[in-house]
Amino acid sequence: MTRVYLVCDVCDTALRATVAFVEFVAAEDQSDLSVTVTSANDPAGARTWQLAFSGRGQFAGETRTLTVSVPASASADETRTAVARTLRFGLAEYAARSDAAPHLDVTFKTTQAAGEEPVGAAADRGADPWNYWVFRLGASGDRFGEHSQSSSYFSGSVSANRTTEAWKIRLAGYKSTSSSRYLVSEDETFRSKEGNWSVDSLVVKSLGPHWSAGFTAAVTSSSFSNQRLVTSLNPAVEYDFFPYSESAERSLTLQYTVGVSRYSYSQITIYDKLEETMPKHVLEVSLGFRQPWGSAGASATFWQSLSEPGFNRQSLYGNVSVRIYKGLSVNGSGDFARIRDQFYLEKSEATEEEILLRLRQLETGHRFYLNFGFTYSFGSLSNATVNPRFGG
Amino acid sequence: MTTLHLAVARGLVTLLLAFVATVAHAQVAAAPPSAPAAAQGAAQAGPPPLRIFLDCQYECDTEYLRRAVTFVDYVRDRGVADLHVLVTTQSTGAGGSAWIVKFIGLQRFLGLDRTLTFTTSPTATSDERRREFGRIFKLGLVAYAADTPVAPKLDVTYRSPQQKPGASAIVRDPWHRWVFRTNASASMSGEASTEYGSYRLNLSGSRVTPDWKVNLSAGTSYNENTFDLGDGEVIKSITESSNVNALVVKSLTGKWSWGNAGSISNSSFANTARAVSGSTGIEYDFFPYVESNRRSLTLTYRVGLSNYKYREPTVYDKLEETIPNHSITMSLGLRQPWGSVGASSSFNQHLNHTDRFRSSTNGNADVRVFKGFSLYAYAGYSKIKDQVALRKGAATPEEILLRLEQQATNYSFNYSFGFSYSFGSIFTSIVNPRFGGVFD
Repeated sequence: MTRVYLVCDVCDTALRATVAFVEFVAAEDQSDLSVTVTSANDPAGARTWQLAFSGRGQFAGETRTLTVSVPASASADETRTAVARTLRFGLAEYAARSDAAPHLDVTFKTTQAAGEEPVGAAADRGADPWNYWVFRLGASGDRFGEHSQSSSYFSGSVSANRTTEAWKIRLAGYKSTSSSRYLVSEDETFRSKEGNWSVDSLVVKSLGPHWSAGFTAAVTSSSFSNQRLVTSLNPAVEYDFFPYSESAERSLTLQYTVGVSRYSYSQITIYDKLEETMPKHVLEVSLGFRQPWGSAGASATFWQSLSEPGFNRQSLYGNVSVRIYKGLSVNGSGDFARIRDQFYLEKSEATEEEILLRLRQLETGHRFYLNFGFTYSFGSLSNATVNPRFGG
Repeated sequence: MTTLHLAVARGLVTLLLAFVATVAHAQVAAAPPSAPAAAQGAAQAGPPPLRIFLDCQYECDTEYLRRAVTFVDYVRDRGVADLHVLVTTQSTGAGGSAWIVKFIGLQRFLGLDRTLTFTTSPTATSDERRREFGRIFKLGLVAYAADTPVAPKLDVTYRSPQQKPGASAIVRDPWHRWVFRTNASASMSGEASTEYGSYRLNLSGSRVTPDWKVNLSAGTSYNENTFDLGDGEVIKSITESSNVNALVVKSLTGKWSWGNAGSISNSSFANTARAVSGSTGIEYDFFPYVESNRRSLTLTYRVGLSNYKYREPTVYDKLEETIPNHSITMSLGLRQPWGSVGASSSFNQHLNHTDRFRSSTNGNADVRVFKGFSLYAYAGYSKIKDQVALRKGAATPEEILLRLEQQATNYSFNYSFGFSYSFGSIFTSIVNPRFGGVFD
């Protein structure tokens, strides 16, 4: 334990007992740090207590002074409570480096009704001249090359977001292009090019601790999916069976969307169309957990055209990462989709290169992805040594 | 344009106007800041909430922290923060993480810096890691927050341990610091005309002490992809590789180390049926190794011998050969409050054919240039004159397009860059998870 030499008139045995995570010693030369508590009346009539912390040995050079102001009307007991609390604040950072560290914590009492968002420090801050709007510009690019192949990728994005407890607004623009070159033989080079862009918006209004309503509106374009221009407007409602304030630990949401999209195609589709309008609805259930034993998530989505009910898609997704036993963890994720909504596919047949390099979406009735693994560790699991030599 | 295009375009324009109006309104409202701000300051009788700039590359669950540690305010730039919290992690001998949390005082706390450390076990779940980080984070913050308006609602609690401290100080380690790990994974995906499969198995054992580091590992991987081109033509591609590695490092002084490495491997991509290599080398860190979480500059020289058995005759008509080689590498790594920088340069040469060599240089930087603006860049270039293992004969178009085997080249480059600029509200404390699946 941290050994503390305390110089303080009001610090009686009862006060010292409220600081059980350090050991008070009688001589400064036996201590890891000394604390000197003094007080003075301030002009407003309150009494200001000053606590000067000064480290020795392993804490040499670590000094800090904390003050706490107590109204003139305060009782002796109230004064001692305030001084003791401030003493604990100052000692915490030293004790966090002692063997008491695993048993220490900091609590913050917030006045909070059931289901209400917690009131933290943020509530005390002054006016925000930007009214919570945050703007971002970003761009990135990369290139790779050697004699027989090269590739490049560029993207740019711009966004404006406003997040408050009551509203969430996201506006974003994005554009990317990628290209590749393959020297297939001495005198033949294959080149490919792909690109997409989008302008998106999301507006969500909070309706109590469980309900939200909002919409997405978007204009997008994708060469991979033969979609030259798609314009969509999708109003939706969402219900979380747990309060949204618990979302870092658990959430179970049900979301229903009714929307309409206008499609313009790059090439004539398998249904001989160059453009069409498609109303649709979507129902999605999502579950997420992050708990001491691990984390898990799952979702199920049903998508259906309202004008052509035969165009639909059902998909299931799940992921899990769990510690089963001391050193044994398993993780897995997978999704499966039954696909009946590829009305936008290009009519002409895909070339060999387009298939091998995944340059365009291919006709399919299903799509799946499955990944699982386990890790088992045993042996000296508490070895905290760091040894960076020779990498590895 | 159709009516729907027009309707959505009009909607987006309306939305843009609405946000411009709210920003303008807020700025007008905040325009005479002196009077209301002064009044508010007097009412609170103390500085505003502690503003934290949390500088954590990927280790922290920031959404969790913003929910669990609410007595401070989170801002997105160092320039407006009271406290910069710089978090670094390194792996421990057990395979867990050693965390170093540096609290760097800014503004009224200038010069008041503290460092707290803790470790998490290799078997800790993500929830356990974020909780432990949150606890240490709070213990470090509490003294800085002692003069903010939330102080009366804060306290430090202590749950005294069951047994007397010190009683369990010496614990016998029956494993003598050895840690073993096995990991297996499989992943598959597919649709009507394509299927991909990838399978991996790894085993490792390591023993890490300040004086010695022993890392042993073995792994194998297999990938199989199938493409149905139509007309009954199906292409199946397979790549596979296996390896067994050993690394033994002796710490000589605070700055010098001696390392020995050995490996046996094979790879369809590299045309090797069996490659056996051994090397010994010496490394010098210009900074003490104990500072490696924040800065290191190492110079390493290795000399070794490799024996190759090839799957198919090479461009030099060999099926087997033994090559003595040596290499020198210089490597720099910095993680500082302004950002991080890394650079490395190496030269490998065959000792029996000194004209066969490879020299590589790469550098990366991720730097906060000014308020809200950060820049990252990576660039690497290799001059390649050592491709002795290349298979003789031309590759098929499929082998080239699917990158199934190494192709002849005398250079390789790779660069990437990007920037990000944020402005507007500095506060990032609010978490709003609604409609999360759509955008976040």
